[in-house]
Amino acid sequence: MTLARSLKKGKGEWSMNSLRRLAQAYSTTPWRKQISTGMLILVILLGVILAASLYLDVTARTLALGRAIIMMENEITEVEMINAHLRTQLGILKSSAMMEKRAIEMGFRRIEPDEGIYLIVPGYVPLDQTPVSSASRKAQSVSYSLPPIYTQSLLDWLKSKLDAWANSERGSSP
Amino acid sequence: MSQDFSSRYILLGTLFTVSAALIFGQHVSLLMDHQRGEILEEVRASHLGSVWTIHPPRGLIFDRKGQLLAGNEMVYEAGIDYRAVNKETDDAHTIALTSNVYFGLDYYKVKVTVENPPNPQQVYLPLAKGIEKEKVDQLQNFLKIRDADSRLERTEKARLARHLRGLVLQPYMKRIYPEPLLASNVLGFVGYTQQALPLGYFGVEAKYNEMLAGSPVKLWVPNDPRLVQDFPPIPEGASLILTIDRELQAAVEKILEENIQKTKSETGVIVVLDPKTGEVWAMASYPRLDISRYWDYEAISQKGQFVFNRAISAMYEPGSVFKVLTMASALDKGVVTEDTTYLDKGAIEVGGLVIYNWDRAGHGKQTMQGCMQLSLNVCLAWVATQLGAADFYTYLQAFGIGHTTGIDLDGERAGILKLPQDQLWSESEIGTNSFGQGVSATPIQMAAAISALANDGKIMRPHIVRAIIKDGEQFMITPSVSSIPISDKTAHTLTEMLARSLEAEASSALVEGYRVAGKTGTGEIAIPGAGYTSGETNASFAGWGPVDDPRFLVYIWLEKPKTSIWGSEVAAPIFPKVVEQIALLMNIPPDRYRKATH
Repeated sequence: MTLARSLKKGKGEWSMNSLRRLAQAYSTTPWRKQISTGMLILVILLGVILAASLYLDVTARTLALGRAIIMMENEITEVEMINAHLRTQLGILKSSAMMEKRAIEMGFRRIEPDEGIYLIVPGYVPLDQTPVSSASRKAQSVSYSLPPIYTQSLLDWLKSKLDAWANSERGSSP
Repeated sequence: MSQDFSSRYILLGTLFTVSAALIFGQHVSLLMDHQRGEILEEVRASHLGSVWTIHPPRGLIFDRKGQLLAGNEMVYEAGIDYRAVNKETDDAHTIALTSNVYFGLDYYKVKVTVENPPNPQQVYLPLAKGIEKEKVDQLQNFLKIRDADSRLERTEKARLARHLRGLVLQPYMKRIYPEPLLASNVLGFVGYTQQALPLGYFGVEAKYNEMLAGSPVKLWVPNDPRLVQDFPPIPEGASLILTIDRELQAAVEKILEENIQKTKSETGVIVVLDPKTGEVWAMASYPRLDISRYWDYEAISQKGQFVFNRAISAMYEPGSVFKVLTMASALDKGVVTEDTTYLDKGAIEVGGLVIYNWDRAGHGKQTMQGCMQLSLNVCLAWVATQLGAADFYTYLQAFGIGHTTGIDLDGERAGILKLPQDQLWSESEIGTNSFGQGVSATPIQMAAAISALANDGKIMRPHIVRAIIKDGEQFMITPSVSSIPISDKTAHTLTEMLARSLEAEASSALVEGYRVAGKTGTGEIAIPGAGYTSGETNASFAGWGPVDDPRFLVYIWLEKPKTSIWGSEVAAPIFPKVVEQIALLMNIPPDRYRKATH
């Protein structure tokens, strides 16, 4: 009735009658309730599907990240092993015997004790020969765990938001 | 209808009740039966995830100039994952053939192992360890599908890869030594325990095992990828910088081996140390083990008297080189001076035992320098008696005789020094001990004791590790004084006496350009029950220099030389060869240059 009256004001008599008939017909239609129930179910279903797909998406991405972390950890371990391996290979190439062999091949020879020439440099203090560690300190992780955004599910996220909201409401009350 | 429904409701209710009661009963029974509960808890935990034990890479070992002496190499363990082996196909043949072609494993042995797991529950069985990375790379490159030239080849490679799913190649780090003979007696080696855990044996590897190995970390890794967390940083094992100089060590080892062959000696040792700090610059021991084949140790040690590092573990009667300690004690106590004279008649009786000189001759009136220069047993026995047993042994103990030096190497022995309060000690010991008989010491003990003369009377604790690198930070080891047995005056006086002795006799130990001090030693080797009748000797030489500011001390020991039994003829000539290398490699200019700078 309210709708019909408002339309009557803005439109002509012709359209008013048509609408009134349509509304009357709709109100008397037997499947009206089923349609509204069906629509309601569809809306709920759509909401559930939306939530489920979001949940699935977040979960899938979390799983993929989890897998990626494991694979990266394995890669780090392997790269560290390869680095250590290469460092040792370098050590072998620079070993005393190898260096001497290469030096001889290049035409060098060991000097005799009387062939040494010493220069007197007043005030010169020989440096300590101990090498200072060149190993840079490993980057320390600030946090040992992933931020919650990478691990929590949609429900966890909703719960945390609700908890935060509830806490903030409680905090603001006198 | 309503009756049907009510009976169904009752049935459903009963089912729920019974289920709940069963669950509750099971819960109670698990609470009561702890053992079963724990087993089930383990099963539950195994479904949730697994515990990974991560062993950090073993720390590296460098020489004093940063050259790598011990590192880690990536190798693989090949094993069979029985869950991935398909018995219906020819997986066993493919795995066995691949293992044979690429890793050199026995085809039939592998095939039988793949086809017949030791027990039905066996999931994994290791086939071989220590497979080189290059070999695994070759196999992986061969199986790369994208490198295939044709479709047929791609298909074939994919088929092979399918059949090889049961072959697991697990990388791990293995200890490797770039030069497995160089300083092997100092480094030691890394073997494996029965639990297949790496463990250091001998030398630095054993002494610093815990530091080098680091702490294994146990991590719980969940099966649910959503629960995976970033691994915490795993602290690596500490790395060590040694006091050893690689080039000097190599040179000294070469000199020792050449002279072992030249003098036909059975074994030998050369120790080079810095008397001012106690840093060991080189420590050569012959024979030595190839530590890349450390498993030979057991067989070698069973064959004869193999000692891993003779410099710290082999005890011997040092002979006349010990006279340095007797004379230092007497000078320090003031019972004799440089100018004290002694009339040598060629024999002396101490505690009922008649002691003779090495040549069984009398040398007449001698100063203390003459006694040292001619290495007169009789004179030194007299000096020791003048000192008295109490003071003599107090000094020897202060010199570290009879105690370990505390060097940071595994397997050091203390030597044997009988004291007056010991039951086996007799009065004659003071006479024989004065010239290095009836007392046993290791070369490092003798080197450390004599280093007091080269360092103003102070003995610095000999050490091998110069710095420790932990988590990228370097910590230097501070040299520490072990003891101060004599005064600086005594040290200077005796050093001067011994330098003049070498010069007076035109010793083969003299070094051109450097004024050095030193003492030879020839110790007879006793036969148990028969005394000193073997005719075999231990030839030694201890020398240091430059006399005015000692920078190095060299201790040489040759066991049972054949070309000559005398230390002055076989051990002393080695000294200048070693000093020449020290001067070149450790930047010690000849005296005339050094003095010009002051």
